[in-house]
Amino acid sequence: MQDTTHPDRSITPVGTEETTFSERAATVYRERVIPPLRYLRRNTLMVFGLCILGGLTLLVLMSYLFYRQEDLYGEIQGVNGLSSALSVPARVKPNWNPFGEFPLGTDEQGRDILAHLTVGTPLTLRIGLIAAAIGIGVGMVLAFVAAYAGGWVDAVIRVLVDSLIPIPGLVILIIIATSLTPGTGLTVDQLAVAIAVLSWPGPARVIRSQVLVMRERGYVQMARMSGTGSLGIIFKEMMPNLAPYILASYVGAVTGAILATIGIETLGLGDIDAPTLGAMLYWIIELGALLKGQWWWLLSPTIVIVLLFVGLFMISAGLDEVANPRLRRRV
Amino acid sequence: MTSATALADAANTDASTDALLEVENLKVYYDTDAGQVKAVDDVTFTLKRGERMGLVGESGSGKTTMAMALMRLHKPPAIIAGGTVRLDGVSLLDLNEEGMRQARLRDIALVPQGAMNSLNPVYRVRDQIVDGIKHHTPRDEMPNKSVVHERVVELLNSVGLDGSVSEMYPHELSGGMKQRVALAIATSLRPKMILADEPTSALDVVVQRQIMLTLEQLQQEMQASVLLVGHDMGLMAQFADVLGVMYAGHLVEFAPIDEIFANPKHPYTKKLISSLPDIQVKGRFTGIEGLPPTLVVPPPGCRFHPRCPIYNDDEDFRGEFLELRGSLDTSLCTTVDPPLNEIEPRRWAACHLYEGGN
Amino acid sequence: MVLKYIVSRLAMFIVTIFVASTIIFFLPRMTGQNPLEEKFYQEAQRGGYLEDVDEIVAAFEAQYGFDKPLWQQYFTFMVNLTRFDLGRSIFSWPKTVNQLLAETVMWTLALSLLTAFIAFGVGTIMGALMEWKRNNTFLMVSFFPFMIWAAVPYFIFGLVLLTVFSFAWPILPGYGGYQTGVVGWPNWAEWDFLVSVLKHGTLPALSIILVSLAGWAMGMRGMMVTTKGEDYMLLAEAKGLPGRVQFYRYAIRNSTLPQLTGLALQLGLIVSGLLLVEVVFAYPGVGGMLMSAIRISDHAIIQGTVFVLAFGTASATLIIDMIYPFIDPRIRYGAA
Repeated sequence: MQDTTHPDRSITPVGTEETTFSERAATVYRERVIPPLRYLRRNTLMVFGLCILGGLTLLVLMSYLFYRQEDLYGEIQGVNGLSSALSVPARVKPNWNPFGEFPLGTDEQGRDILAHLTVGTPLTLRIGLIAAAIGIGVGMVLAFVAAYAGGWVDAVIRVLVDSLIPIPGLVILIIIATSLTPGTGLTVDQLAVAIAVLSWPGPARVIRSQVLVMRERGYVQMARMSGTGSLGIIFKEMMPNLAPYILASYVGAVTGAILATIGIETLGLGDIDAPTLGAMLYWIIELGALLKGQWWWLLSPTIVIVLLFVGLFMISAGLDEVANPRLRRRV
Repeated sequence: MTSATALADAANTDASTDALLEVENLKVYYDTDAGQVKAVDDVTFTLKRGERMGLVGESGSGKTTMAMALMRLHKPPAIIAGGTVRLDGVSLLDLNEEGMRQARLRDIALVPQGAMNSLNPVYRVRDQIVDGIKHHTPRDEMPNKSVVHERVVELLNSVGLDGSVSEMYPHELSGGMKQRVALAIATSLRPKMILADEPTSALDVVVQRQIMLTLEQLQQEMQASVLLVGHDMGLMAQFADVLGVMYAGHLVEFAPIDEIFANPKHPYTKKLISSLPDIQVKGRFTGIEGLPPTLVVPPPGCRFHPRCPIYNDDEDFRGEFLELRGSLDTSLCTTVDPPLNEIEPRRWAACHLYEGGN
Repeated sequence: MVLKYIVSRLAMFIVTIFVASTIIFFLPRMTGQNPLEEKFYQEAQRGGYLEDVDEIVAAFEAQYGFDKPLWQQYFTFMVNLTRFDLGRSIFSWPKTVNQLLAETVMWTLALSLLTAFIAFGVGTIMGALMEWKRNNTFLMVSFFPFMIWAAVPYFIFGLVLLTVFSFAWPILPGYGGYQTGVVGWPNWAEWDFLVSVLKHGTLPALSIILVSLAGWAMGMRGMMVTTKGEDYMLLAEAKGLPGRVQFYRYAIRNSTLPQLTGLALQLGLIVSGLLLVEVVFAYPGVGGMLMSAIRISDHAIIQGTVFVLAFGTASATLIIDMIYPFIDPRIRYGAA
């Protein structure tokens, strides 16, 4: 082990002598706040990713302020149940380019594109976050069960995971969508659940192998020898060390889930009337927006989707650096 | 090509002077976010042909960094900030990339630190011995396969391995066998100089001894010089002719091994040796109390003074140093970085104790 | 030992196919929908007569075996699959799904293999160079666009390419697999037809190649960071090996192993992405066929296509698994 000089080695012992509050605060600041910040400064990718997603959130929030509540979510009007929201068809004059009274223009069916994006971006993101959370949860439980039970339980889970990974998720979603709700497509919530059902094998695989590695580490062995129970070991000893892997898996799962929703909706198998980003793409392709030269209709959702994916990708690459210290630049 | 002939010429003309490796004022710095780290600072020493030198020091003292820099294997952010390294009269730091590449393995070979992972897992042992030879032999002079194979078997035998090992993959070998293969690779072109960087650190004691014996045999047979970097003072005592001691990037003492054990000059060496249980049996380099200094902001003056038993007037060390201590101006210790001086014939130390005049 | 490895991989392949076909069989039947009934009632309504529909439905159900118990249907379904018999289309009766697939599968296979080889090969080398030659300006500069490309879904990038090169600056066709409306086409013996196929394939291929190339480059770059720190890389340099030997025989060779694992794990995603690209460009491949089957709810085609896609992905995974022992002796000799 060659250990070239470590700049952070001079750690001052806390509490050996009487210290004032401000001194203690200074110590905590120096040891708990500065190192993560300094680390973040070196992990440029994560910073970029966080900035992109933060910027996107800010844009959405700003346009929330720009609209009145009923323009975004609408009130059901009249007996035929028409919504007053600007993100449903036939609310505004169709086919306006962005240089008129609508900041991002309007689409062919008479939706305000900015209103559509303002409602649709969080909606799509929500599907991703929920589906990935369920997926990771299931994956984690299976991973721990497999790693701890061992034997045939582990074998069954491993074979199941390995056999599901090569099956294209989108294709299974298509089967689900076409057989569950032929003709109408999955609602937003159904879609989230369907994607969640498909997004556990990846995380289960990663976390299982990490648990197996970690179980042999010294501190876990120590805890076991000193009589800590399995759950105690999992939550006290392993979780803190698994956190970067779990987080990285989660960001990856969110990316995958968003990709799946947008994909399935683009195929017209989601709720094509819900104001999601994928449904937007469906109509753009279905109505041939490009053929008709309605570039603005495609431009803004594309930018939002690209920013979303780039932000998530950078964060996950940044997290990879945390989880995989060998990737960290030396010194 | 030119460098190779230059080296050969140098070998002929310099045969009278028996210095093989001359290191002068070598400086290796790291440029980091926290500032410039002087990992190796002004290191000077000379190693004779056929001589075995040991180099010890704490983790972070710069010994491995220096060893790597000798072969120009240092990696960014490390840079060689100054000094010269001459091997058999040829200035290694002035060679171009290709010249340096040719010199590696042919003139100066490395026995690496991480024995376990130093072999490429995807190639057979034979291929890993042959590729070094192949890329140092002009294509038209490369012998045919059966001759090469014989050479490989010969090399493996010389490090105590069976010829059949040549067909094996690294994962089929034990740690000791891997390190022997590394020895076979290092000696495949009969280099003038072998640089062994803690070659036995991951092995158990019995295997360690065997490997060192093998290294010694090979070295004597080839009349190569060896620079052995390590922790193990017992191993050094058995193996080395001369010993260099590094502290915080400086070479603080350099002397023949028996003299250094009998009468260490530098307070750090002194403390180091007195901390060994019994050097004849086996002394692991456990180091001394206190933390090594950070090299980003090294202590002013002598880098050792915060831990120095003389400067701090430690009772256990008063005896033999008492006289010298009397004439020592301790204010120098905190202000002037002592240079490495030849204080007696063939004995170098970097300490204000021996700067009599002041 | 290598035999044990091959057998276990083959078993895994069979399990995957089994799981996939079971999902394909049971999912649609769990919902209680009856595709035949629906179809014929629709048709009947359109045609204006409703008298004999039940009988027609019954006749067709018998044809499809829907009147038999579920377990028996499942058994027949699985047995047929082993003979690669995917049944007959509901809407294009009596064409078999195999016949329909034969027209489309080659397009998809050509597009996917071509793009996968180019993207994986070039991307891997570029990513390795990015980390190897850290002072090369071109490679350093390309890092940023690669980072963005790698993140974007294929079909979104496809939409961008479509906008730019098919509409804003129309130099390439963005619809279909070849020029339509020419008498006698598709005719693979005709030069003009081949040119047309190439032109039409350019944008779909580019949207996959550029994105996944960037993805492989980023992955390989990360892998190289790890590989460069390995002890054997230091020894390779200390042995005086020329840079190119260190790069190809040591760095690339060893980073390729995890890179291939990455490929195997991502095949499912790649195929999903490919389908969407085919839809965006109305490419005459399996994706387009699936899309039109979805439109008309032809479950026989949907099931058959989905099975073929799952089979293809699983086969590709199997092939990669079979390549593995050739590059990693640790698998060949049963270690690790």
